[in-house]
Amino acid sequence: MKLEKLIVQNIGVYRDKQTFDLSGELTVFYGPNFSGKSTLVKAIYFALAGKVLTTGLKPPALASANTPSGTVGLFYQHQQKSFRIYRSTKADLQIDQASGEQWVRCAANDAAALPALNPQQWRVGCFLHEDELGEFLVQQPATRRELLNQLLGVESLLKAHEIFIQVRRLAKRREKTALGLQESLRLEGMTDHSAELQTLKTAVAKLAARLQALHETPHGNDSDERLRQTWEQAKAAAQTRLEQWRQQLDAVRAGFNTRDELAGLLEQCTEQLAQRDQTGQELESSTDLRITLTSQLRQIEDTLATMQGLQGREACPTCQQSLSSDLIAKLVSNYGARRETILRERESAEAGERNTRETLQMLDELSRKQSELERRLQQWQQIEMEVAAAQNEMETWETKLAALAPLSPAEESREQLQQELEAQRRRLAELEREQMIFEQRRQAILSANRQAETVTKHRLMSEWAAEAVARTVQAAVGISLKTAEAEITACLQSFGLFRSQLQKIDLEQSQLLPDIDGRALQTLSGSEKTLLYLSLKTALSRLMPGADFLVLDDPTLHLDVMRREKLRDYLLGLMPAKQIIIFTNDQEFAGLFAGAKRFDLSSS
Amino acid sequence: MNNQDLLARFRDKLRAAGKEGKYARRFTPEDEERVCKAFALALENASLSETLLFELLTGEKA
Repeated sequence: MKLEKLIVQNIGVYRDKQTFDLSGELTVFYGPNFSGKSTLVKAIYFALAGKVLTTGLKPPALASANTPSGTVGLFYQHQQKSFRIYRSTKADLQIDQASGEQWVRCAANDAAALPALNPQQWRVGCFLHEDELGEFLVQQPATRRELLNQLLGVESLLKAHEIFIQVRRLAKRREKTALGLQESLRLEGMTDHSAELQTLKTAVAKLAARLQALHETPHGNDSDERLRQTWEQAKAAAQTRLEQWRQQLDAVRAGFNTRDELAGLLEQCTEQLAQRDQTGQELESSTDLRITLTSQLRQIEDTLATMQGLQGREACPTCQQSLSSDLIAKLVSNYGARRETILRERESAEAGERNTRETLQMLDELSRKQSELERRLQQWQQIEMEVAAAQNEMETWETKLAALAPLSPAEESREQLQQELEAQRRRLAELEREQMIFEQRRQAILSANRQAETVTKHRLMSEWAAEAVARTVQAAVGISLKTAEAEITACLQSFGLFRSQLQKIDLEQSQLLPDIDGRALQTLSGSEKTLLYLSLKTALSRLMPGADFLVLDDPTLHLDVMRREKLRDYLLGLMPAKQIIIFTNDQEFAGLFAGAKRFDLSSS
Repeated sequence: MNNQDLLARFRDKLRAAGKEGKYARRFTPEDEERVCKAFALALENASLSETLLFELLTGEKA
């Protein structure tokens, strides 16, 4: 990018529209202090970056005093095309591209219209302004590192690195949780019954077959046997009902040993609840008394206020009759005493009302309890009757069964077989239940193991990715800086700043504050600082495509004649790759550039 | 260095790291592709959340 023309209007000291031709490789502006040199430097930066070169200022600060806004226009060449940009301090922006004799408007964010540099990159790559070195030296290391990242254009990479580190943390947390779950699931204390189950199933099947064979064998009294089975079933049903009723009875009698005990408590409740009506009346009386006392109190307070208002007056403000101050004082005292008495009475009435209300609430609670007790007493009576009925029925069936003829040997054997089969079936059901729990646990452990394996892989993958991002950052920064470091070294050599053996410059390690001969930048002399800083900027600008010009504002501060000449040689050496625009109040230095385009601002 | 250059460099670094120590023979080319896609997305979206990136990386909900 090369600059061609600068137009300023209502910017700093430039109230009227002024145009400066910047075309060519070298332009020198000479002018004493307050001639508007720095204003033009700021105007160029503002046109390109939309910000103010001086830290902490906003664009409106660039406008001339007492003007609503100022405008900067900058004409330039970028990628073999001509553009112009107009920017006002009120944030208006217009970019045009030359098309033959015409100018065609570009979008404000048209990437082809301006080099893709951020304000920091414009500042470092293309401008050296008067306060810059001081500002740079007081920056914190973290700020300088951030600046370095911005200049190198690796901010997005560093951001990505940060997110990958967070992902790695997330994956580690997930792994810890999964391993914790895996650790908590154990089969200890549980038995695998699968073999035993198989054996038992076979045994049950054999028993069932034997029993079936016995049933099919002809035997004595079939009708008695059928009757026995029917009655046995009826007895078992009565037994079940009896058990159920007994369980319900246990639930109803909870907390009481006998039914009389419950009935006694119910009677006590009923007696206490007899007072409820009387308590209700008491509450009404207390409330009435409190309301009456409150009303009296309000009247007395009104009267008292009136009397107090009359105190110190000679005549009544309403009827104009003369007033006795002694009488008024006595009335105030009487009404005050009366007020205190009523206040005490009202407090006492309020306390009584509160107590009565609490008693009433307690009685309401008791009433609810009474209803509950009545319900339980009724249930108790009902269930006792049901238990007695089931007991009778069972006894009836037992009597009937006893009256039947005794079992024959074959029938006894069948009976025993039946009992054994039922016992084995019960055991089988129990084992199957235990085995089901065992299987569920085993499945949970398998699932936890699979999950742990997966999350471990995810953790490894996130570490792998984060490691690769870290190496990419290192490589990207390293490659860029290597070029810059070589450039600075060459530049310092050309300035003759190395007194002893040449040391390697490591910008990342030194966080943009390189040493010369082992001396930190802060400790160098003024001229050394200026030259080192200039070489640092030039070197970094090589990393920024489009930063093809250098605007210098008073660059000769602290430089003696010999170093001014070295600086001139250095700047001339940067051409034609870089367009150089110098603003200086040093007439001698300005005179060192033969053949440069010149502007003398001292006359303006 | 633009994002494409960074992605190419990242792929090289990922492959190199994938041959070392605990990462060796643990990941498939599909895994590598997924990681590269996640990296490219992270480069383009500075506000990408770690949970979303985790999902992109592993194919599972965080």
